[in-house]
Amino acid sequence: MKKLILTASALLAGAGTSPLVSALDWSLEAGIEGRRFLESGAYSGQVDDQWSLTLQPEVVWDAESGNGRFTFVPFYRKDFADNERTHGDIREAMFMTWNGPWELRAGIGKVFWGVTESLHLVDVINQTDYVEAIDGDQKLGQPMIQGIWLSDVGTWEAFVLPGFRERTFPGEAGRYRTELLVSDDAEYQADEEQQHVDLAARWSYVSELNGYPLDLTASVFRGTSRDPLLVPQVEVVNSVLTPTELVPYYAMQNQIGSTIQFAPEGWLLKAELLYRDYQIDTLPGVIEVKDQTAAVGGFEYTLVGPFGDAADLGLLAEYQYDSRGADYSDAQNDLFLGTRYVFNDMASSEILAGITQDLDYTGTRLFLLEANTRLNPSMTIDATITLVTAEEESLASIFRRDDTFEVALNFFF
Amino acid sequence: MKLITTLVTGLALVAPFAIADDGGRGLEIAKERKARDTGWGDSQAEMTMILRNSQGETSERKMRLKNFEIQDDGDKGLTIFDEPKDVSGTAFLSFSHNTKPDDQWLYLPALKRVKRISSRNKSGPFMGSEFAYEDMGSFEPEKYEFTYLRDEPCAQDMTCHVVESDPVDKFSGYTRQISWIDTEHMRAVKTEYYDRKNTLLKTLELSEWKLYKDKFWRAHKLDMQNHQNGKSTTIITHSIEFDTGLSESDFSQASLKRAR
Repeated sequence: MKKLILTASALLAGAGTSPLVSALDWSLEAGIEGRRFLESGAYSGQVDDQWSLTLQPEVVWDAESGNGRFTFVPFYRKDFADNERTHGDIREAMFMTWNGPWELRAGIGKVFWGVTESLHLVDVINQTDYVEAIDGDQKLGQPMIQGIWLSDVGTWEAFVLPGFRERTFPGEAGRYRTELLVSDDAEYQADEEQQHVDLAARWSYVSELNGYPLDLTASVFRGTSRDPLLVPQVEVVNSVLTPTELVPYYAMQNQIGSTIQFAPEGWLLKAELLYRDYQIDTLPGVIEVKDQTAAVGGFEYTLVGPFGDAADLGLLAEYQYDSRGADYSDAQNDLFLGTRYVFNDMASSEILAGITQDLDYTGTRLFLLEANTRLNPSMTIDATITLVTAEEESLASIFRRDDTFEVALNFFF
Repeated sequence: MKLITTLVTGLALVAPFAIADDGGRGLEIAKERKARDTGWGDSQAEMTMILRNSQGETSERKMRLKNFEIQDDGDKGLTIFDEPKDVSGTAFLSFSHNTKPDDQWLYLPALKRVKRISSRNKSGPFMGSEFAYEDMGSFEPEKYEFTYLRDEPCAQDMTCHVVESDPVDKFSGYTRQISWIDTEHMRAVKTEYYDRKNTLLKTLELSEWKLYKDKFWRAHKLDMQNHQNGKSTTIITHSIEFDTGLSESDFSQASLKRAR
């Protein structure tokens, strides 16, 4: 990170008074990514190789007083195969200020809620940047005003969310897509459409049970669902009703969520619980919109130095449940088993491998292996293998030919 | 015969306590060491951590440490990493406790996620270094049972109390630590760490001491040598400032998310 001293007073005051200097920091992350799909696509037009470049600068201005900041993080990906994956986003453009137990943030930003590894159920503030990563880990910047108050009975957060972000979807050449392409023209239940102001709040508390840490959160959200319902459009072609595309429909919802994490000795026991009440029962085309009761829970156990060297081995198991069943969710009755091997070497090398097995469709499972290491102080490499096996009736079958080997080089300036 | 066996077993059980009975001298030294380092308030430091493998290759991490003294419990600490650049913004928050395991969290800036470190993982390496997470907490006498061993000459013509500290926490990576505490200023200038098999694992040497606020000594160079894998880590402190205006609310999961 380069540090540019902004104020003349800082220069005049000389060294030694550094804490109260306003300064501009900037950094830049650039990446090149290659994907090789191991089978040809299930749908026409899909590519077998996909190359792309990414750029993510970050500019941070810290206030002289030491309790204010502005952060600006734009992001851009150029994908040479899929036009829909070529996209830009403002990940962050956030003013923040804090004073004692209070903090106020305003602008565009990202908030993460959750404790589990295989599924992020209660995390609702940001829209998924789906073309970036199918696991939902990459998010679009969300306009928000956020207030935080630290009290003796926990941390309280309130959110006002003006401006809705639509989920990104792959184009015709892209992989991990539905057979019918998703339309760019979304429909909304809210009359204000993208201008509807959503509200959210969250309480988090660090407690104790039998002398071991117990972390609790409870959250509420009222507004436009981040998860679109994809409604097929039909046209009469040669006197036959033919589906043409999928239109994303963003319904209104209320949700309550909770996370629980208990840490006795070497264990992390985790659960996320969600109840989501959609404000609509059916969609045109007679699609039933079901309210959702969902849970994910399990454990993480770390063996420190099990092989006599510095490396740690983490063992993970989580169960996923969704009341709406297999027609609505691919995390409805699934078991995730994973292992994380942390080398604790100078290059910060790590390997994460996991398998998610569907218990309703025993022929449906997802295998994921992620490995990363640092090549030199300003360069890292990630390698990812994704393998999908799916029964034809299961939702995951749209990905059945999307087995992938992916390598990304990341450069830091 | 039965009686003799019982008697011998009984003796064997009593024996460790008999050795530990130093008339409370070890605990007295530990309490004095803690007392001499009480009242410093808060501090901010800039550091470089140099990792060295057995082939002599090195890798540097740059970090900043914020510390806040808590009177009736262990201290609070926040470590923010600046380099390597791919981990820039990663932050580590620890609440040391004197009678229960420390609370520790890691903040991952790319995901905006705070992850709790389970208490057993404390014996694992801190950011790939030869320091364990548990070495990063504050010194709290309640965490150990002490045995005074002897006084002897130590580094730089000083005289040191040699004290054994046995961690109370069963998930500590150590069976015991032997510390050399200089008799004049009560500073731990060297510590040997013995692993769970009671063989020498690491030696920490602290040097380049500077006095702050006319009362508090801080070592500006920490050398941790691992004797079992040949690796070592040096932490160099470039600057420390005291009374920087930090408050307890700067050490929370919420403040961890804005740490930089």
